[in-house]
Amino acid sequence: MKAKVLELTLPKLTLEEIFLAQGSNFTARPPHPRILELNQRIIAEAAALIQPKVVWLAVDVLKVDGQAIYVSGGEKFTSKLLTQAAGTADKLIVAAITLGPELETQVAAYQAAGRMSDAFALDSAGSAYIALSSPRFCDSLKKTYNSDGLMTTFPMGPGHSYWPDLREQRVIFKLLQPEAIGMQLSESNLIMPRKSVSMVIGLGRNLPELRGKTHCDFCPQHQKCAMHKVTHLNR
Amino acid sequence: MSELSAISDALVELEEDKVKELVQQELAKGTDPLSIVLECNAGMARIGKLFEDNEYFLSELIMSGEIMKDVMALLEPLLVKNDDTSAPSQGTVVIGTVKDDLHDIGKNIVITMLKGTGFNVVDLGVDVAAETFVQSLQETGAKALGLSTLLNFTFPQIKLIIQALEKSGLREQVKVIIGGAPCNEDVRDFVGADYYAKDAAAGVRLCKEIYA
Repeated sequence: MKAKVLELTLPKLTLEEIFLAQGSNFTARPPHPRILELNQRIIAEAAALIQPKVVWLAVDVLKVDGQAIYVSGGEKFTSKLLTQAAGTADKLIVAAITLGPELETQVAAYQAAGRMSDAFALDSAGSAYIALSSPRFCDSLKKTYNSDGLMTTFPMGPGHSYWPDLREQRVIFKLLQPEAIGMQLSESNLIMPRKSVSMVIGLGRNLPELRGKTHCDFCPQHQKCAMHKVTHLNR
Repeated sequence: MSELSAISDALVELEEDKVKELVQQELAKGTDPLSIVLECNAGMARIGKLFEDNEYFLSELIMSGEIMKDVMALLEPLLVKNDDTSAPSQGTVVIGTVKDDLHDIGKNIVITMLKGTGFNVVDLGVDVAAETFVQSLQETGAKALGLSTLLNFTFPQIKLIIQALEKSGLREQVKVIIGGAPCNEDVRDFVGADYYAKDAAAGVRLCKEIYA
C-alpha cells in the first residue's frame, strides 16, 4: 500500500511558544523590546517559509514478542515502549512530518552573515512549528479513528531515550518512502531537513490503558525539554 | 559614572546604536582602544552573570554577543595599528559538533559569545571526526576543546575523541568541555571530559578559567 501525503494547516505560533522553544519563560519577565520585535518579525518570516507536510501509512501488525513488533513488509520495530503501548494493536500508523527545507536554508544564510540572533530565533521558530504540527496530525488521526470505534496510542519515535535504535528510521523510510516530499536520511540516520519528525502510533480496539500519557512521560529529559514545554503549554 | 562605563551600560541594555556611537566618540577623543575593549569586556562579564542568574534570556545573551562582535571588528584593526600587544586574544578554542550530529545552532551561539569575549575560535563545523579535532589542536596549540552535541547516541563519539587525544599525547594539555541539550555531569563522567557547560555563558566562563 502506498503512503498518503497531506498538507497540514500551519499551526499558530505565539510569542510565548517561541520563547519556550528558546528555553526562556516569557511570562516570568518581559523580554527586551528589541528581542520582542525580533521574535515577532521572525514568527511571520517562519510562517512564510514553511509548509508542513505529512506522509503516513497504516501497516498490519503480524506478530509481537517481548522484543519487537513485526509488521507487514517483513519489517520490525524494537522499542520496548512501543511494544508495551502498542503490542495489542491491530495496525501501526507510521508517519513522518516535515516543514520543508526553506527555513533551514534561511537559518544557514543568517548564520553565514553573522546574524546569530535572527538565526537562533528562526531555528527555534522551526522547532516550535514542527513540535506543534505533530500533535495536530495525531489529534486528527485520533478523531477519525475514534469515530470508527478504534483507539490510537500516543506517538513514539526512534532516537528518543525510550527508543534508542536510530537505525529504525530506515524501517520507517522504507515503509513511507518520504523522499517524495523531500525527506532524506543522513548516514547517521538523522532526518533531513532537520525540522522533521517521524513517528509510530498504535491503532486498535484493545489497547492498554495509558490515558493521559505521552511519550514524554517515558523520557528522563522531559522536565528540561523545551519542546515538551511548547507542546504541553495549551494541552 | 565614567564615560567609558556608559559603553558597558549600553551594551547590557542592548542599545546597539548607542554602544557604537559611544565607542566612536571615545575614539574621536583619543581614548586608548584597549581601554574601550576592557570596558566592553566588563559589560560582557555583567551580562554573563545576569544570564546565569536567569535575569537575561538566551536571545538577549546572543544579541549582546553580536553587538560585542561588531565593536571588536571596529577596534581590532586599531589595536594592531597601535601595536598594542597587551590586548591579544584571550586564547584559542577549537570547537565542533561531534561525528554523527549535524546540529550547529548551539555551537554557533557559543562561538558568537567566545568571539565577543575576545577568544580566537577555530570552528570545525558539524559531523566532525576525532582525527580532525586532534589535527586542529596540534596545529593551533589550543588548550580548550569544545564538543557540542544534541543527540544522546553520539556520546560514544565523544569518548572516541577523548581517547584520540590520549593516543596523540594531547590529553594533558587540552581541557575538554562538552555541551548540548542531552549533556550533564553524568555524561561528562561517562565520556571522560573535563567540564560540562550547561549553557553558552558557562562555556565562555570555563574557557576563561582554562586560560586564566
